[in-house]
Amino acid sequence: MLASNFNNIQNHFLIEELEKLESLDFVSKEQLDTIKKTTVSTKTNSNLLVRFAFFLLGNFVISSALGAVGLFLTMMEGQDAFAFAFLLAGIASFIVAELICKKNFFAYGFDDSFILSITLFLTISVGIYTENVTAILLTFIACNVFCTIRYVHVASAFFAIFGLVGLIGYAIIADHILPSYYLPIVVFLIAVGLYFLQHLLAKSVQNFIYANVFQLVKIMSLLLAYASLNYFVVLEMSELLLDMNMMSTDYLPFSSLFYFATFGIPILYIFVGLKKRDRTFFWMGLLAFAAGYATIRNYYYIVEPEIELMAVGLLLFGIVYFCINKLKNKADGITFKEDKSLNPMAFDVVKAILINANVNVNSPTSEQSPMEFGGGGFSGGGSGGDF
Amino acid sequence: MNKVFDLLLSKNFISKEQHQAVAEYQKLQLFSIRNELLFLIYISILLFTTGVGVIIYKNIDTIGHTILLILLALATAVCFYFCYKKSEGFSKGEVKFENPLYDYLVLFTTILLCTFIGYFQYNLNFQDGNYSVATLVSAIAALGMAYYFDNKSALTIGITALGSFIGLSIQVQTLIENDNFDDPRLIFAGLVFGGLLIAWQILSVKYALKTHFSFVILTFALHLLALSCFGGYFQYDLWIIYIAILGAVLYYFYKKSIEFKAMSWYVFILIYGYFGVNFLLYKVLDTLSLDAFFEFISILSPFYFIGSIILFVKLIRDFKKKINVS
Repeated sequence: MLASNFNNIQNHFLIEELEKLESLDFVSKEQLDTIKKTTVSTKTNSNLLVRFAFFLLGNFVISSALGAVGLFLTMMEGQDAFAFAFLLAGIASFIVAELICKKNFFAYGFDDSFILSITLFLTISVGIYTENVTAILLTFIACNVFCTIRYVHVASAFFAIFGLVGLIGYAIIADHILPSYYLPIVVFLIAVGLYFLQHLLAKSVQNFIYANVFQLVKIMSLLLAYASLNYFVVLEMSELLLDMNMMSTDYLPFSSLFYFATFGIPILYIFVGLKKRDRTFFWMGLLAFAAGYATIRNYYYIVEPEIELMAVGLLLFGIVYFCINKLKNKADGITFKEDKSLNPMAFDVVKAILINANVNVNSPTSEQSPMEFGGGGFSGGGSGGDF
Repeated sequence: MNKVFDLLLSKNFISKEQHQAVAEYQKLQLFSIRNELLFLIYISILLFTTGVGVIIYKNIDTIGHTILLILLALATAVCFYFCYKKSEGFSKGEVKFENPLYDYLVLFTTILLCTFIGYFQYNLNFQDGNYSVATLVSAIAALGMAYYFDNKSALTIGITALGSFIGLSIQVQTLIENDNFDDPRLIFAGLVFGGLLIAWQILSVKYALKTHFSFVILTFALHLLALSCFGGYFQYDLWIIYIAILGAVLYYFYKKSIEFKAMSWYVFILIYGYFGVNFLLYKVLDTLSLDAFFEFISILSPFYFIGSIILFVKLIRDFKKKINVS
């Protein structure tokens, strides 16, 4: 079941690793170039934008092919025939995905659309045949796990985890295999289990090509572990899914646990991240901390939002300023020095978009109706009538 | 993760000495939180300025305008003073502050300055305000900050403000909603402004003035021009002119993307170009009105899309080759 072009994919990731070393000046540019030229690796789009564009094109191919075949299928009758048609579509996607794999394309974009549609079509087919939610979710998970392993496909792993949570949730809420208030704790245990599973598997160097999959599972399990015990999520989900109409917070079982977890888990994450030098933990900790703050904010209204914005801004600035001054001259361990193997471009893009979206230089004009003052154009953007 | 380096060694990708050097480096357990801290600083500034903005907006009638104005002016002046004191002075090339925090101070000052100008204008000409003047002054101020302190964020603000002065709202939100280009005058304004941006970049290169700003300026120009062309295509009977302009623009940026080795431009050129070709194809089929042909489209379309995939794979491969050669 392993990926057919195992060696090429491994080479691809090894070269990526080598590029990181090159940016740290351990490996010379010439060495990198010669290795790149002499090694056979996969055809891959490392640019996400390009990959997404190809993904869209692949989807166009699939949908237009379905449309063309659908013309001939209109004479079919009966549910089973439809299920059979989807089964055929799933098998066809599988064959195309295999062909693309053979051509040495990996994470190029259009292979993603075929890999994902294997799962999609087979799940629909099983759904029509059985009309049973558990069977559908099981198929969904099985297909996704297969695709993850066979094609080293990260997105499939993402959906597989969703399917798993859905399966457990359905079993508890609809089939009542456990009292429903245990749901958050069961989900938390699943998240912990997933984390240790990937931790164990990632240790073997044979599984090196699945590094991105493991990374995703790690992020998902950390987020899931936090979300499953976050006070707000638990309360809202109980009202939404379990129809427990809880007006007062006292009726929520284990509520003190959830209160504790809302802030305890983020702090644990940040601590582990700094201690183990683990960026994923650190980031998820920061994210979870922000979520925890929003949760408390949702239940306790302390000051006016604008005062709060200013206070939080000042406080954050103070803390970070303090940290920077502390770390400025440290050369080992946790440091403020630039790590050249990281790519700060991602931050730059986010910053540019935030500035563009948030800083509205034109605010006095656009917030007032042009009718009120006269002189402004009627054209939304609201310039002067200079044209 | 150390085993990865063993694997690299066993495949002879790195030599034994290099492997040892990497292992030594790993022992340092370096963990840089520089990007994270700088990003948090950035968030804190946005939060604070948003708070200030909300307070001004809410209290515009109760607190005296003059007091607010004076406070704002004072804050701006203090920030500006610190920027000025720490900066290395104006230079045509790239200058950096010793401490990256000052880049953020420049951004903060720019935002305060723009708020001050807008508010000042709003306050003085309450009855017959022509706000485009305030926007223009803001734009000039932001660009001045950008060029003096060498700050790309301020440049972004400046270009956006210049766009607003002409009447364009070149913010990401409005571009996505695409309610910008309903007005024929705005389409024309977009084309002119895009052209001016290109001219601006050419002049910057000619006088060797902050050439590293080129990427930001041209990115604005590319998207503005292409989207204006699409707006024009849907507006008028003059669609053929707009398609021609689109073709010329995309060709120009194709040349530029090779020069700048900019994959992100090239991708958008391909996407815009693909849209353009499809629009053209639709118009041609529509004019020919081959009724019999339309029935075949649903059968032919999968092959059309497969053909496009193969074409794009080839185009991107060629582009990568060209970047690596030049």
